[in-house]
Amino acid sequence: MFKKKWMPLLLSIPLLLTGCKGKTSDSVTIFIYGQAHERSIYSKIIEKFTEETGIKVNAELVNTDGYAETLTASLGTKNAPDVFYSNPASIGRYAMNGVILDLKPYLEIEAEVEDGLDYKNFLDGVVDYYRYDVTTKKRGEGEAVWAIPKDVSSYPLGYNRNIINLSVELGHWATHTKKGAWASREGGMPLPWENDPRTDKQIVYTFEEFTNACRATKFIHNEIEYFGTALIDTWAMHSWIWAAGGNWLSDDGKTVTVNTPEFIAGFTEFIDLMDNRGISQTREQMGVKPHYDRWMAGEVAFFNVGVWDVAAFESVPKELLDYGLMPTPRKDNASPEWYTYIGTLGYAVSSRTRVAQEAVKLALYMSMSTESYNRMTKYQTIQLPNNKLMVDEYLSDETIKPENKGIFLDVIQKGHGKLHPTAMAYNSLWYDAFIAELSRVWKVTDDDPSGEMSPAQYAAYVQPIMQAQLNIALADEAAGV
Amino acid sequence: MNTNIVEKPKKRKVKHVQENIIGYLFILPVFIGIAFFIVYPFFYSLVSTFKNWNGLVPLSVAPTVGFEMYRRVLSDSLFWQAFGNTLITLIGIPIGMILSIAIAMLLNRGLKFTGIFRVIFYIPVVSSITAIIILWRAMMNTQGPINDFLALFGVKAINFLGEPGWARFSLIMMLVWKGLGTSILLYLAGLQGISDTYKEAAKIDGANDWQIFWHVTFPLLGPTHFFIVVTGIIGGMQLYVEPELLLGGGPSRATTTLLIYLFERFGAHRISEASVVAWVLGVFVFIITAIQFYTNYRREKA
Repeated sequence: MFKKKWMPLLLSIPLLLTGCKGKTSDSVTIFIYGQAHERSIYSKIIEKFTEETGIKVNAELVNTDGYAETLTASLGTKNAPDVFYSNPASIGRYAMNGVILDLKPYLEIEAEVEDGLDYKNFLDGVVDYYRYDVTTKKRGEGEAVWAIPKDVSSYPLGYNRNIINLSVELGHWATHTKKGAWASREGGMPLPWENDPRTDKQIVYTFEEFTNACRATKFIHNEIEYFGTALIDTWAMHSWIWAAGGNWLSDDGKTVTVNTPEFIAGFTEFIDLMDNRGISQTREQMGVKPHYDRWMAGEVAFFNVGVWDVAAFESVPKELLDYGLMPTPRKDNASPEWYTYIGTLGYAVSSRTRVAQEAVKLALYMSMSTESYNRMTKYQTIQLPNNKLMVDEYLSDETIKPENKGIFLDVIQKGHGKLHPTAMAYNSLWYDAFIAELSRVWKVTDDDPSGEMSPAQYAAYVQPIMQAQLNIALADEAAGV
Repeated sequence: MNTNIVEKPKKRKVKHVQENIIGYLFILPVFIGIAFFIVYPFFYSLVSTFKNWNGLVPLSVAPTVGFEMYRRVLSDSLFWQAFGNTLITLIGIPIGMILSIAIAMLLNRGLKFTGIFRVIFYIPVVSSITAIIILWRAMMNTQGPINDFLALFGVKAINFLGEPGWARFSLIMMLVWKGLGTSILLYLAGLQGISDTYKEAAKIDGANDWQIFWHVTFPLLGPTHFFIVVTGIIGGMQLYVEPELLLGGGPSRATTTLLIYLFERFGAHRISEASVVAWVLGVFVFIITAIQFYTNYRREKA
């Protein structure tokens, strides 16, 4: 009788215990996200890693949804994965709270191992994105390396050669670009893939010249409406703001500077380009056919191209989208610099790991091995090579598109790239405040002359809101929270 | 003899205790569940509001900061903006109630196909929220069917999802539409519970249809009104999925509700601030609900 009574309870114990999952101590756990095709690539690289090293890997490959929340919940516990994604914006907090390892000692050991991967062969400067001095609270400084790049990507402009050739053929290019320095040049301004006769390098348009190029490529032909450009504000405006000399934060990272004349000049130029010159797909039209779809349909002349876009763009027939890369515009002839932003994600290792050296070995393999280069860059381009020993091969390999792909690397290696503003402070809520209300400067509908606020008014309105959030981030950073 | 008299109650008592223990053991998993998943997090989150906790280290290690996190949140203009946005969406409650009563009264008249109409009105309740959002986004587009329809009357295209005022309106309309089915069923149940004798008595006294509704039907639906208002406010204050999926909290933060604001703090590792928002929200809902219960109690007593 007694046994019968206790039986249900005894049977329920294993059920309760099944909820408790432990890690196997001899394997490395990696927790990363990606789209389905990326996850498939990661799996193959991990398989190869195990085959070559004999180190077992417990891979949790997920999609983006909920990744950050799951990671946040696990980081403070002993269930934290050994290897996981971290970006430059997060490493400060992670480092200050002791949840990630300083990888430098382990990287040095790997560099000494025969056939080991040497972290000094990362593209110049990219490891610095993951340095943070916990004493001085300075980014990009200090000896410690808190993560290594999983990828480093850039975001230059792209052009659709078909539309530009059509514009030349129809005479629009000459009509709209025979101005300023090109007034007397036959055919007008050099085409985006041509060299600037003054420098003998690929032309870098000024703001004004870029507008003219967009005017020349905004026309209707055979009942198809072509647009000069159709840029996505949150991805593209940085180039105009940086080229005009503006920035989101002061050099010491303590003051929000969106209300400076330089910032406002670049911001205004960008909003005018999108909303007020009749050369971009409008926001109403975007509601019907998003900018990206319009570019893929071969109806937009100039559009941003990320490294991660290459595979998708290559799948479009050349008759629709014959694209190449070009620099983003510079402010004017007196300002030669052009900028676009650098996106990067890194592999960090949990400070609770019991297999630190193996974890670092895996991270290095995923990042800079020949296998990862072949899988992620050569066979299918989802990222640039991280290993500078592979750059020449990348540049000379004609099977890797686009033809002038070197611009991707120029952004990173020749000073044309800046880290995304979110990497400039302890968290990104201050920057999110700028983006969240950006629609205040947009045209409400095509019939309305302008948005609720001018860019200058918006900058004045949003600066205190951003500063309040930044002050909290600075206070938390000072307290090491 | 005496020994037997003393021993019998003892045996019963032992058996009684043994049965109690076994009984308690059977309900122990429920108690453990409540303790771990409700009571423990409840106090854990309360303690976290007095710390500056980022979720990366154990709560016990996080610095104690008194009411600093409350000061941060309550002095943040974005918090009050989110609070205001959340309150605005509650306008949907009376709108939904009026529509529900009207439709429930129609359905209660024994019209043909009442069952079919009930199902139709309940479809949004059981439909996938993602599907609903896609549908509404398409309908509310500047070149969508609603604007096409309005254009027939010469109305210029309205940017339902891109202009803050219209975005709030669109969100409220979607919430009303989605919640209508449940309210209609509740009111139908309420209407069917009202005896016809009250209405007949009112008719005999010379009341017209409106007077019968206003002085008889409407007051007798009091418990249903009460239930809908209470659950509507509790649900409305916790609004997250619909504004996040339909509008991403925008445009210009016009539909950023308190829970979206909370989640932003969580994502930025400002967990203590997120806990403060949760507590402020909880206390606010508790007070409003208590006032409603008290008012209802007073009304019923009167």
